[in-house]
Parts: sequence; structure tokens; C-alpha cells
Amino acid sequence: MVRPELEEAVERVRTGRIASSTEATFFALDKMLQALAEGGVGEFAELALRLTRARPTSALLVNATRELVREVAEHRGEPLEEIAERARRKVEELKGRIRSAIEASAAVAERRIEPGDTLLTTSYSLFVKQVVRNVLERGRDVRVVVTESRPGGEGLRMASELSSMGCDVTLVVDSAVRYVMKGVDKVLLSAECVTANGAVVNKVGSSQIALAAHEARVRVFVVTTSMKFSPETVVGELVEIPEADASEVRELLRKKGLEGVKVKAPLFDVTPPEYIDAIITERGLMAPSFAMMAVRDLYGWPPKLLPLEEALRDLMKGGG
Amino acid sequence: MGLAVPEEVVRVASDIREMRVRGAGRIAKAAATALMVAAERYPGSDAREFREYIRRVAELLLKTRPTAVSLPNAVSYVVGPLLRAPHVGSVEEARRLVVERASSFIRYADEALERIAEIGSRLVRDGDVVLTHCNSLAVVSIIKRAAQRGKRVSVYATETRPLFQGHVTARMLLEAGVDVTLIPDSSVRSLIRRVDKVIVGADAVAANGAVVNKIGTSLIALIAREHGVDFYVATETYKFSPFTLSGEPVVIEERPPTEVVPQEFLDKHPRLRVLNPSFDVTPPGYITGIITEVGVIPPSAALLVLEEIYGREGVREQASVAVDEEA
Repeated sequence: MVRPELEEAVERVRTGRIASSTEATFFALDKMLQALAEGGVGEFAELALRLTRARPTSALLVNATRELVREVAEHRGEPLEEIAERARRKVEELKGRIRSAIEASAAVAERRIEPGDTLLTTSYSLFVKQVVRNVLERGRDVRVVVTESRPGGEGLRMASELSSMGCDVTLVVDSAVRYVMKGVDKVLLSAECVTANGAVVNKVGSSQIALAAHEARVRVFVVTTSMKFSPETVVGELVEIPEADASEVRELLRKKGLEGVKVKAPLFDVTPPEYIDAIITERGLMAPSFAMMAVRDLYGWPPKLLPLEEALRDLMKGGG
Repeated sequence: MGLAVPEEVVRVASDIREMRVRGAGRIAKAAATALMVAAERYPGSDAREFREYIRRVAELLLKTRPTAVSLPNAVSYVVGPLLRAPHVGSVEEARRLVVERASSFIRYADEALERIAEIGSRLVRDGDVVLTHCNSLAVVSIIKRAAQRGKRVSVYATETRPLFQGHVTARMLLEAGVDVTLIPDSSVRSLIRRVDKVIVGADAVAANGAVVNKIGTSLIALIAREHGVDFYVATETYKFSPFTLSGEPVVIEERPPTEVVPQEFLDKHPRLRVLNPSFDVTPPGYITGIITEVGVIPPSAALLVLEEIYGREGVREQASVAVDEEA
């Protein structure tokens, strides 16, 4: 059984209420540690299962959880305090790796930004934010167009934080993307997940931005980490797109007495590889079609993966 | 004294400017009605003064919104004969001329909408999923007519930021018993595979068949093209712009940032800019057909429509007259 406060954590991760997938992963890992320390291995395993199922699109969450679960499984015979300590150190290490990946990817991406460039981005991303920070620190002037990114409106937070960094920011509604594209030099997107064929799953709206950029011959760069590459997609797993938390959309309808209107609001969309000029990670810049090779380098060929669900069920049976 | 513009007319002008009256068709009808009211309320007896007075009312109305071509077209239709007449007789004659032109415009607009509903509904197949953007009376009329004819139609209506006109569309369709789903503007490409056709309205149609409509329309057209989904525009021919023929670009109106974010957000970020264009331009190549009261035409036939309205010679003449009047 998972306690109510952890139950709420699952819901927050499911609905994308936590804007960036990196932040969502940090949050989820902390909750898993809490479950382990306070409830033991059984509760840890159940929560880990629920969290990864709540956000199966997040390759970072799934990959990080897999590493954490392996650590716990390998030492399951030891006293709980020791397992908890090992898990804590593992989470610290994972977070450290993700933080350095942000810096390393941004260091590669910033070289592609020329002085005077106008960039366009959507949603809230620690990776994209770091690129802009680096560019500004080099004293290169850059303008960033940010879309609102409804539903959720994470673009407002992105615009706000970039503006506070001293960046010249222009906010537009999601619909205005094709209108502004003529004045844009490069599009920077982040990723929830990169699939084996080099497609990128990201906040809904990303794929129509990439399409508009493609039409206008504007380059599209995805700034991310190899930890967001999804090895499961090599073995044919489909990436299921969850529904966004559309409570704001519904609330507006309710205020106008329009409860009868249905709402459909996917949280993510899929940008095909042909609209992406390069995927930039801590390992460098690569063509989207190279994603497959990156997966091979990380997980072997064919990818050898710890079957996460099986491992977690196993841990749950073991109890604790 | 006779030149004072009636309060009711001033109110119509501000309703158009503040977007309490919105949608190109409704704006055109509101302007024609305002001119009729202005003519009826004129208290003086000097015919020349009446003409100046009507010119002032026309200018007041024209200044409200820059993009909707239906506005200058309607105003020009109503007051053109009076302003172009070599001499005016009595005030009564002049008044009758304006009132007649205004009511004939309104009658024409109503009949045009009816024809568009009829013609457009034939393009809708039983079981179709139609996606629409913003709020267009022409589009809603088409879907309602198709539903009345027993065709099962379901509709995806985009929210249409920043002003959520999608809610108005949803309400109209809901009241007509049509199955309607509201979607965020950002999710059009995600959902396009479930869509059979896109039908949107227009604020203006240029001489080359390009369509000016609510911001986001051209992005939807691009997405429809990418997926081979038919993209139709439903519009009355009085939204076809003779001005574009003389090379005049259609001015894209930019509206206040507070439509997008609250004032507090702007105060907190003094350096942040909000770009809030109201319209965009969909290239003719992305448009399957334009559904008008005279039939479904390919966008390349826009010039034909203009020539049929204004006459072959008249097209150029009308264009230059209209530009002068607007200036």
C-alpha cells in the first residue's frame, strides 16, 4: 500500500503539473527514497511502479528508476537502513549526472547560437534555459520567442525566468508560431523522450513548431541528454501519450456554463526525425537517425535491459 | 449641430473596436446598421451637410479595425453611391439612398449566409469529424445545416487563444445538438489524424486567393496539408478585398498584451514583450476551396469573384476609389 501523500505525488507526475521532465524525475526519485526509508522495499517498489506507469513517456524517469531499482535489488538482503543509504547515494549520483548533462549539452548547443540570433522555444526546459544562460554569459546578444504552451502554460514561467536573466524575451500564443517563424533563426526544443528512430516526444505543440520551422527552413535543435533516449522503443514499445491536466480548460468552460463540451488535451506530441536538424546531448551533436547507435552504446546490442516491471514485482513480493 | 454623431452609432464603433462585436460578417452588418441609424437620426435639412455627416460616420466606423475587409466593403457599399453622386438632392432623398443601401446589404448578408450553409453542408459527409478554429457564423451554419440534414458530424473546436472564441463556437454547436470537443491550439497536429476536414471562416480574402483569418489558421492549414486533410474556407464574397488588387497589403492588427497575460505579469517583467497579432495569412496553395454564396471556388478564382462583383473595369476603379476613401 502506498500512503496518501505519496499517492498525491503519483498524480502530480501523471498530469505534468511539474513543468520540466527533469524536475519531475528529481521529484519522483525523492519520493521513492521517502517510501523506501519510511515504508521499506515493498512500498518503494510499489511506488516506483506507480510513478513510472504514471509517466511512461519520461525516458529519464524510467532510465533513472531502472538504475535505482538495480541498486536496491542487488542489496535487498541487507538491513533497511543500509539499503536506504545506498539508494540515497545512488539518487545523488543520478542527479549529479543529470545536472552535468545539462551543462555539457548546453556547452555544445551554445556553439550553434550566433550573435543576434532569434531563438524560439516552447514549454519549460532546464536544458534550453542553460543554453540561453551560457549564450548571455558569453556576452552574445540573443532574442528568445517563447510560446505560452497551453495547456499548463509553462511558457510563462520560461519567459519569466529568461527575462529575469536579462534576456530579450517575446511571448506569443501557441497559434502565432507560423506567423513569427519568418523572424526566427533557430528553434530549440527539449525532450521528454527520444525514440530509437530519432523521433522526439515533447510538450504538445512542439511538433507543429517543428513543422512550421521545416516549412520556413529554420533549423530545429533538440537539447537533451542521452539519459532521455528510450531503449524500450528498440524492442517495439509504443510511447503512449497521456492526457494533460486540462482543469484550467474545463474551469473556463464551467464558468461559461459549457460543462457539456468535451475536452481533449494530449500532454505531449511526437516530432518526426525529418523535422529535426540535430539532437544535442552531453555526448555531442548527432543526427536524429543516430539515436539508434546512441542506444547501442549505452545499453549494448541488442539492448540488454533490466525488465523494470518484473524487477519491481519481484521486490514487492519480497515485501518489507 | 447636425454633425454630431448619434451616441448609438458611437457605441457600435466602440463595440467593434473593443471586440464586443467580432467576426467579419457581424462587423459588416453592425456597420451597415449603424449607418442606417445615423441616416435616420440626422435632424438637419441641408443635403450637403448630410453628406459630410455620413462621411464622418463612415470614417469613424472605418477606423475601428484595420484588418476586416468586410468593414470597408460594407461601408463603401452603403455610402458609396451617396458620396460619389455628382449632386445630392434633398436630405430625404439622400437619407433614403443610405437606408436602402444599408438594408439591401443586410438582406444580402443574411441570404449569403443561408446559401453558404446550403452549399457547404453538401461537402460534409455522414460521420465526418470537422475541425474549426475561432468562431465563424458561416462555419457554424454549415455544420448545423449538415446536422439538420441527418448527417452525423462531430467537431473539434480549438480554444483560440487569446480570447477563447472557441467557446462561442462550442456553445453554438452544443445548442444545436452537435457533438463538440474543445482542444488547445497546440494540439492540432496531435489530433489531425482523426479529422476528415478543416473548415474555417475568413476576415479577408486577397485577390490572389490568400486568406486572412484568426491567428493560427495558417498553421492549421499547414498541418492539414502535411496530412492530406482537406482545408476549406467559408466566407461571404463581401470579404474579398478589392484593395489587395492595387497591391495594398492586408494590415495585420496587433492587439494589447493584456489579452494574453494579466497586467501584474507585465509589471513584474518590464523587459518582456508580448506579441499579439490577431490574424495570419494562409497561402492559397494550402486551401482546397473557398465556400461562398456563389459556390465553392478554388482560391485562384478569387479575382473572378472580384471581377463579377465590381465588373472587369470596375475592379481597378473600385480598388483605387476604396483606397482613397479609406485614406
